[in-house]
Amino acid sequence: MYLKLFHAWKKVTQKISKRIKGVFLYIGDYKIIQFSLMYILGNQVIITWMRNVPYLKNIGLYLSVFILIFVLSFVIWWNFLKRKNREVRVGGLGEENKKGKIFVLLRSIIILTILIFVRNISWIASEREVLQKIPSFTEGSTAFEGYIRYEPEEKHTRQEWTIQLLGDISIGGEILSKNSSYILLRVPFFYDFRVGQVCKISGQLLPPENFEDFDYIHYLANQKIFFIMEDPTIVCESITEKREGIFISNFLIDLKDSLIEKIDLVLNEPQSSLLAGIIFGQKRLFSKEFDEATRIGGVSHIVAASGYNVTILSLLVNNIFKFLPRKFRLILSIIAIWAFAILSGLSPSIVRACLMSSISIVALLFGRSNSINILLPFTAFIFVLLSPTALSNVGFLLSMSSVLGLVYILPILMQKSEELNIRSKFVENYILPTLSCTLSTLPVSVFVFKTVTIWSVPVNALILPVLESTMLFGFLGVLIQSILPNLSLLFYSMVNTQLKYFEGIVLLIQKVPFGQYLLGNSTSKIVGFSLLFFEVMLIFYFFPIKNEQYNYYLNSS
Amino acid sequence: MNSTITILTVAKKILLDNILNILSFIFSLVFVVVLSKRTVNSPEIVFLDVGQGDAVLIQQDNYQILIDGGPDDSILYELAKYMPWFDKRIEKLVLTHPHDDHLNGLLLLLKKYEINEILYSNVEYPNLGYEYLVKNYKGILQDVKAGYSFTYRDIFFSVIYPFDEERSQEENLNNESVVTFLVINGYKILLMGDAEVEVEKKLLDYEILESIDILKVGHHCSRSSTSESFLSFTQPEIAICLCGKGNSFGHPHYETLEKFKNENVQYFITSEEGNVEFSF
Repeated sequence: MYLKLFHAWKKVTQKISKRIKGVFLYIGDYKIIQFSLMYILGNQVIITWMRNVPYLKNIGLYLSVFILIFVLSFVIWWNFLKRKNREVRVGGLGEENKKGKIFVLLRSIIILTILIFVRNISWIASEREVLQKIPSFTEGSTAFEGYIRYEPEEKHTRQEWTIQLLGDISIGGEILSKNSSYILLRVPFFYDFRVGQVCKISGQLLPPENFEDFDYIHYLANQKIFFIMEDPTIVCESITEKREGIFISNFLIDLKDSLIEKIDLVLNEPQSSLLAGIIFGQKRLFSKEFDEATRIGGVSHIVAASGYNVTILSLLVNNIFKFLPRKFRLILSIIAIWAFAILSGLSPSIVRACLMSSISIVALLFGRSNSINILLPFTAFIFVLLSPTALSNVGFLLSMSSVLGLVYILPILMQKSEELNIRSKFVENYILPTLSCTLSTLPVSVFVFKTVTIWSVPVNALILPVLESTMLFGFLGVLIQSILPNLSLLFYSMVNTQLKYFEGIVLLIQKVPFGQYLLGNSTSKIVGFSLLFFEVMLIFYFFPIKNEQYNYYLNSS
Repeated sequence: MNSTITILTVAKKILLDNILNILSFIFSLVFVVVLSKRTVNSPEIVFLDVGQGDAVLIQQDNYQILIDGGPDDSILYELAKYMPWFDKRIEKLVLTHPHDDHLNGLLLLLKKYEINEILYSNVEYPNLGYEYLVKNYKGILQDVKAGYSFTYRDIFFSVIYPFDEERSQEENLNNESVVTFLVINGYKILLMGDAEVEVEKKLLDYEILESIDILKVGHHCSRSSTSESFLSFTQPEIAICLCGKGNSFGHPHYETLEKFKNENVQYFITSEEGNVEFSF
């Protein structure tokens, strides 16, 4: 019995290790994957080190990084000379081939490290400078002029605005330069101002503080916010007279807001907020009860700009244009997705979600080919290059992991359902993609939200099928509301029924006394990492390999 | 024959693929054709559970009067349970006094509903929300005093406090509350806002009060409201306490509930009962 188990276990581990070796060989052949992955990992390690190591303070960040770059460059040069001498002696690489490979790897690491230092040095130095000056900036009250940079974030008792300074602030001889920090304003929830509106603000700057087990200081620092201001005095200029920010972005946000106002004038809560979230990716505040219910049901992502509503959109386009060839449908999906991004005001989180979804569509377009394996790490690299703290952004991690789920878990589930002879379109279109996204995002949600819910898959599978037409009829309803109000009411009534169904399912699940588990701080880390490990191992074991090129790597390993 | 089978197969496939959408479409049609005709024909009053704050909805047909908006966005969710979904207009909003637990939700409503008129008592009170309301909604604000009244079908609405001469003499803002007296289909309802015993005494002294059926108890059933003389004079059948679960003030106070028991008044507390609804 134990012997049999041992042999079975041995077979499994052999298969997994063979595939892992194959993956390494595969990555080894594609420099772009190597480069992207190494940059992402290196970036995380180096910025963590640069931001947190205190002894750098004494010699100065610029100086220490300069010394490091000098030392690293010297190592390369020295190795290069040594290798050249050896080549002259031996007359070629020959038996030195292995050492040569290590040298190439070492050289790549050093060049990457230098690149990462160069990319990050200036913003980390600026962050350090601001952090050092915090005590002098937060002593007394101050006044400054700035404009509202992003859309306000709603809270239950207030709203939060991110302010971009229009000029440097000087307090007690110290200067806070206008580009070194945004200011987070906490203002009463009923204030009504627009993105780009210029305001004169006065009050006391305060440093943010961590609460409970949430590192709020780092969370804000990743968004370049080092100061908050509670209930400041604000006097804003009219947007018709003066407005800052990007014209097209302001225009799109205004357009979106005017359309959302129309929804608010027809639908009640939570239906209006749900529809605004589904059609425009607008993050709205729900009542505490409904918010809790969406979390338990695992459907919070539907209304946040996580890429889920973009998935619904692509499903919708696919269904409307069923008569067209598959390739055309997928191209139309990409066009629809970017139209959605524009309508949503091109906010960073929506653009990210749309980019991720476009990638998964490209993956579907090209089937199981190499392109997705290259495109995914390369896109992640571009994100990290543009925003070095992207890996700390939950939205980025969720979007990325759900795409990974569609690329690497969905084929496994599809194959299993074929083996089990399950030939239902409903299962294929809704259950399996939902299940793969849920599984792939599970480690992230366990790690970040410290909760595990078993309801995510059934609730999503029940809701997703109706959301396609909710999106369609909701959009039609908004478009014709001013011209044909009665017809729009017909569309809205359908949307209202569907969203009542959404609300009903979510509230029903909330009443079930089991299925949702809260984890402690350390438990969530252990469970999150264990889940990630097991999922990766399962993918290695079960991923269906039909591509001949993959078999080549397996046989070579 | 073959083509018939193909058509049937395709039809079956379309039906099965879109079963949920088809069902919701049918429901929606029913909704539009039948249920949209649903208006609240007989008048009703709902004491809304909005946490620690006040919100009372009175409606008939598609005509709504809302007294106070509660402390936060709960009002948006509670109203949605009673108002027809396509009706986003509130004919009259009443702000009894500008404390946050009466005002905040009302400010949110102004963004999400069309409001015809806001009835309030013009008092001086340093509150950002109140200042915002007075500055930005001047056009629809109407300052009301005792004697103001109107009738809509079966609903008679009147303001019985504050008296004009008493304006802004009170140090306690609760005692500046707009007190309303309603008669709905013959049932008498007294809504006290946050008015305390001093106001009750004045109302008794001026002989304005009479026996009533329902009392919205003043100041969330705090001990500072509902004197014995007030209760024995008005003799309500039912008293309603609008309080939030686990509120820091300890409302409803034990002493007030004891008075109800002594006077044989049946009482409902929204933190325990949820929304309390009466149809007439």
